Amino acid sequence: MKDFSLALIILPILLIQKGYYNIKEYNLKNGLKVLILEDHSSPIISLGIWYRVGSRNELPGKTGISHLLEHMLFKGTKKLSSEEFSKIIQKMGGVDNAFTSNDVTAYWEVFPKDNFEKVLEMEADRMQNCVFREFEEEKKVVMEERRLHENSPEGVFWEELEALSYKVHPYKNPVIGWMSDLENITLEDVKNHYKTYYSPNNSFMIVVGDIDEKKAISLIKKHFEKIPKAKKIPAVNVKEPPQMGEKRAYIKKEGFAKKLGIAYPIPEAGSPDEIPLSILAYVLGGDKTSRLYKKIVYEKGFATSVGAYADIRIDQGLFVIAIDLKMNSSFDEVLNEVLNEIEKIKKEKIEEKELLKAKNQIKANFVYSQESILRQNFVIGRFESLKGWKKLLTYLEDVDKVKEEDLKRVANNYLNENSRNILFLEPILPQK
Amino acid sequence: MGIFLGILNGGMNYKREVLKNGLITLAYEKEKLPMITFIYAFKIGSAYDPKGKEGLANLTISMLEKGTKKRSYMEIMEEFAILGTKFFYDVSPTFSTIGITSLLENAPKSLEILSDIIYNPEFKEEEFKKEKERLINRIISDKSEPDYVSEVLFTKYLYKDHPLSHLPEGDENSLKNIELSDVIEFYKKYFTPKNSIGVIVGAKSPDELINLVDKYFGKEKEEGELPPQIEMPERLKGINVKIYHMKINQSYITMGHFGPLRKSSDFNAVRVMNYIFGGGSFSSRLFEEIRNKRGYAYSVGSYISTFDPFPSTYIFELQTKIENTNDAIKVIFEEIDKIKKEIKDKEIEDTKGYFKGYLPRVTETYTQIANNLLIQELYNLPEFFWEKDVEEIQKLTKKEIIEAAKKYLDPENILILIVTDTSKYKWDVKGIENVNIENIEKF
Repeated sequence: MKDFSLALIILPILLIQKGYYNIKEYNLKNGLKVLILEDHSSPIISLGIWYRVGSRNELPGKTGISHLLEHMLFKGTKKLSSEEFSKIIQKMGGVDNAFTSNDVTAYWEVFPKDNFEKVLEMEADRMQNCVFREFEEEKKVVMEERRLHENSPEGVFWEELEALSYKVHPYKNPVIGWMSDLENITLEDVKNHYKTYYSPNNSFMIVVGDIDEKKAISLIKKHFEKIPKAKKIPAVNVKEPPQMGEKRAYIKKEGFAKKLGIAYPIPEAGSPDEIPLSILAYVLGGDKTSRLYKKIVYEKGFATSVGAYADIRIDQGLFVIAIDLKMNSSFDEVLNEVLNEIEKIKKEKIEEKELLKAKNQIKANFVYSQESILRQNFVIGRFESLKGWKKLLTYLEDVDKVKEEDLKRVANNYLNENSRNILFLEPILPQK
Repeated sequence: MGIFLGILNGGMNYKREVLKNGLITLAYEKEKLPMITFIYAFKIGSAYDPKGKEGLANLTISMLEKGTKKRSYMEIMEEFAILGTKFFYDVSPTFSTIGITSLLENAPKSLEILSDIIYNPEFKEEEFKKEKERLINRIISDKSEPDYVSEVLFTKYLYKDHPLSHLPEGDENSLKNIELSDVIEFYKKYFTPKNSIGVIVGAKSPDELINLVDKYFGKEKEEGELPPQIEMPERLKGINVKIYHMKINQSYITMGHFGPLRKSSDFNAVRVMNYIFGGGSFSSRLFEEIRNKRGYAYSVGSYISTFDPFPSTYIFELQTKIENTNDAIKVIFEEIDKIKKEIKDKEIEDTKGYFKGYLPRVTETYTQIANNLLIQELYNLPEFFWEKDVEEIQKLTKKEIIEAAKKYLDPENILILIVTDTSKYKWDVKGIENVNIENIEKF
């Protein structure tokens, strides 16, 4: 190949040294951690409040309650009517929304900078004064959201793969919850969930944008410091027991989608194996140059797409490989190809170029992620929710340190027959 | 008025130039990060696919990356990956784009590879067969998703026999009819610099950016042809209800008709009206009536997709439990009726506030700026039209906004597509008379 340089990208690391991601941390007396990143490239601010509660904190019979509560936080407070929060943000020219995951529930806004104090005031208000109007109507909305998942082979596939991969841990339940649980959750349950988990000492705030850090923290203190901390936040002590052998599940769904998923348990966030696992996922199925794409999609023509990623969570995570098969492809053939490639990683040479591609992509994406103040907010939030934001500062250097033997080690340690979970989704052709 | 005018900056950071080979080039300097985004747009899209070979424009674009005279497909992908360069392409009915986002230090190399892809594709038979097969299988699989099915069928019945009546990817049968020679001919005819626009946004001066584009994309190329003239599609007449069966537990409701041209002088009035009607998320009437008050849907709203010179589509959509279907449709008809009669001062004030404040948010990223500039050139809009739009929106009167509702919301000539489990659903929308109902048997 002509003019092909195998250069390691170093620029993103230099950017960090130059002061990009120059985050300032403050800790309020009531336990609220505040992270501020000045970015004066555009006269806007992104604000995120992340509560450390998600589906991992849910009990049997109450699955989906964290996500339902997220919806209810838009239903007003003593001061604000239903949806008024969002209407005020929109009137500023801003945008807001929220999301719930296995580990967190996060509320975010992006708005013109002059409105910073108003938005803070509203977020402080809804941390403590929600009144939960229109509960039954909103529950119906969430049930419609769940039906959207049920109608999509994609939605069903991911739900089943998680259910297969965990036996004990609440991660086995979908974030949106099971339908019967949604039907049974009461307003009282939601209020209790709010009281238990929504407090300054169970949350953190991230501000990114065109504001002076000192001014920002002074306003944050003014609106948040008086909110009392919660006395005790229940810990999640569930530990997924070691898997005792391969598990397989076969499901069928009307349509034309044929999918194969393979999930392996991996350690919780903060493990030294986390970054090698992410790079291994890239080498196996990260893009069109990855081993599985080349073999299964490009060379053999068995599938239309393939993806792999390491899903790092507070507790035990998953290393996932997902493949969209062509209708006439055989599950066995595709599975054999995947397992062969995994064995090759363990036993054969991993080219320097494969590692380099993964590292360079991760680093370049790190630069691109700073285009938007909301994306920066999410990057910081994800780091903080899992293992502390400071890991962000050394992340790229840690990526650079990963070597071939690290990939082999994690492949040998985690991608094993006895711990794998395999899901087959077979289409049922619609009857005319 | 205090509108954010950061991007205009006296025009000092922007330049438009036509290169010697005819490529219109727009360059915009943005310093925030050491990176560039470059989009190369061909003024040809899926509306120009020959009849029976729908999907040709999309297949042509997707073949560009599959190898050049210097590089194989995998070599191209490898080189981009090593450089940390993001590569993308897309096809719409009226134009197609291909581009990169790259670190500044790798911009020359990334642009050189892109230039090779665009100007020297090899169109190998083996790659063509693989890609066609992959796309056919992708389409078959997507037919399991009710939202994809809704999009295909709504487009088909809204535009009927017009060339806009298919999605860019075509369908499995039309793709089977396409030969490699069709791709090569389509490429030679239409994928020429004279029929294209280059937009570059990056951390260099506009002159330096233009020079970069000129260096890699300024070469002469064989003359092609201008896309053929296509007649305007016919407007729907009457209330047309199409029902399609899928074994699902909701109804996917898509309603709508044609909307204004992007270039229309009414466009901003329609935007404001639509924001109030169904486009303004939490602030819209449809959200309030369908989601908040009744709990009928998770996602409900209305939007306009423009395809100048052809009329836009103006669509209202939601997904709801099957038993709510008829009432949800009735509510939409009622809301159309209401907005033609009355809009509150507060709604207009809030909407103007939204547009006044939203500029820095929609011109924040390199990609957003590049896309805005591309739309400016494609639709022949004024320079920095997004700022002028906001100024115009601030001046709109209630009368003009209500007039836009009267002119562009047409419940008497409308398509209503319902993808649902037909064993559990029967059309029975109270108060809607003279309806043409058809059960769609064939996808």
